[in-house]
Amino acid sequence: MNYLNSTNGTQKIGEIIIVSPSNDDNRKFIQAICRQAVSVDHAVTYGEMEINENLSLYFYGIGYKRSQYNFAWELVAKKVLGYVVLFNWFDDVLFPETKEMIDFLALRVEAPIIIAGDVQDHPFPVGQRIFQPGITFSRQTKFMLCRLSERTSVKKIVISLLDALIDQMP
Amino acid sequence: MHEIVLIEQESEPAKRLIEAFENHRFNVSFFQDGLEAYQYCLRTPPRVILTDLDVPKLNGMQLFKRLKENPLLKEIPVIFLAKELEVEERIKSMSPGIDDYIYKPYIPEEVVARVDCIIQEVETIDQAMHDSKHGFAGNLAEMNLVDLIQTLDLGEKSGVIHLLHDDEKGLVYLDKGKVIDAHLDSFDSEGALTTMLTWLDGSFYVTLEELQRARVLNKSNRDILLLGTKLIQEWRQLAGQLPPFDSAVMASNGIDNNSLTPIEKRVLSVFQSPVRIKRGISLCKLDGLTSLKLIQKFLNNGWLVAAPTAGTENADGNEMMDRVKEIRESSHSLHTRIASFFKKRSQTDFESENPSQGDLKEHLADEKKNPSGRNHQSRLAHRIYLSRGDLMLIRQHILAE
Repeated sequence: MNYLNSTNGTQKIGEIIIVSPSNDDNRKFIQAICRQAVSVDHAVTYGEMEINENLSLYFYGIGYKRSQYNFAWELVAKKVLGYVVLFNWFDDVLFPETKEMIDFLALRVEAPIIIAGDVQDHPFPVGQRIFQPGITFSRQTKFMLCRLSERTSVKKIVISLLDALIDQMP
Repeated sequence: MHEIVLIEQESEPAKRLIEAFENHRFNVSFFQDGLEAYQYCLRTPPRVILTDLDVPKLNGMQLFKRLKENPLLKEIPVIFLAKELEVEERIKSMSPGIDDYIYKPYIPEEVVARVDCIIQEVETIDQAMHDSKHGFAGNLAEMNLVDLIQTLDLGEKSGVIHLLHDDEKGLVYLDKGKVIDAHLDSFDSEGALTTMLTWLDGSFYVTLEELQRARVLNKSNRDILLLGTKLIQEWRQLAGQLPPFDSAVMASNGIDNNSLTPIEKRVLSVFQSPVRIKRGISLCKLDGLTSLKLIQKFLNNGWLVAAPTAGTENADGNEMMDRVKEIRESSHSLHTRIASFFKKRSQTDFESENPSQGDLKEHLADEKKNPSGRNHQSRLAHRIYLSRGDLMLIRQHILAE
């Protein structure tokens, strides 16, 4: 598996890391965008989107727990396009863990981060008027609500991440 | 009565839509060209604009652009009526600002419902913004009643603190910074205040206003704050000894009712069917600490036992929807919650503020002790290896899929 986002003339690869307390949610996210998600082991979910014969987008879903931080963290962190931090909007119990994860990423990485609150099948808590464009807190981070069960919603998250990258480029 | 502007080329579907709106007490101004509609909006700004994409003189997109450039009209919600393919190709790649889009052919009743929803959302946001200009709002987890009283006392402010905790709503009245009264259903003033001092989750908003209200509570703020601090400490200690508050418990069989006090009977009756501990505390209608102490006692005695999860979901079938309703109603606290993610903190602050956060703290501490040659205080540099063209290609591919 080629972790490097390099232009070696054969294959260019972009990587996005999805982080959430639930491997199931990682799988749902990746499945929504890639149509197929594969569990590499109990901690990592993987999905691949082929853009054309020379360009692919890889998704890695990992959990919050420390054991999963050992996933070549610093190597991947330098080359990854960005991160999506997923959490269940209605789960107050895991809210502090989500905050911890975001603090960790905000301290350590420079890549864009999209924080995505999954509202599941419930109505959006506040009008989509606020959240359609997302709320941008800094050049690096943006908050959005989403529904993991809706492909369009998950696509919006990835598009926002790409937009954050494109905006940074000359 | 809300004013709607409808811009639609086809008269027949427009007629049915107008009828549906008028049946729901909306007033509709109908246009078949975009320019005339825009000129009308300049004179009489409507509540909502519904527009077909393909209308003459000023098409839907051009109209939208003009509206957003006009400071008087830019806040008006705009809904596009469009054929599905048009939506996929054009609208979804647009910059944000569109409030909704409705596929044609549409069901008039559905359009009315969507418009109604948008108007309600806008009004909720406007109300929240209004409230925040005349006070402030937030989350009790970030700022509890003790903090709020302290803040208003410092500023010698008069007003009302509105608190929302699960489905309970309480009020605390202050005159020039001094607490004069409190209100919570089923409690007297003192009981209400004592109960609300232990509310560590939920939301609040404060309205600043001069009060014409007699003083009912005679405790000094100093005594209230001391009491509040003590109660919170006790609460946290007790809560730490109990299962998580979203655990469901229920009364076990074979309890000898004759050995129970009236209050104990009352609390146990709340748990006849499975109930989450957090919800049970609200249902007891006692001050939170007393409820918590009794729940602890019952758990220790085996009078309360863990309930099966499936049963709980049935018993608390409306709990999730109530929670959704609460979230909808407290939109102003949402920003506080989100903003809490982004408090600037240094690595040192993080470690000192979170001594109990084992895993992450350990991880960061380990890195400090065993550096792998990198500067662990600095952020990991980020380099984008793909070109702008590659990223645009990926973006296009995702949109098209």
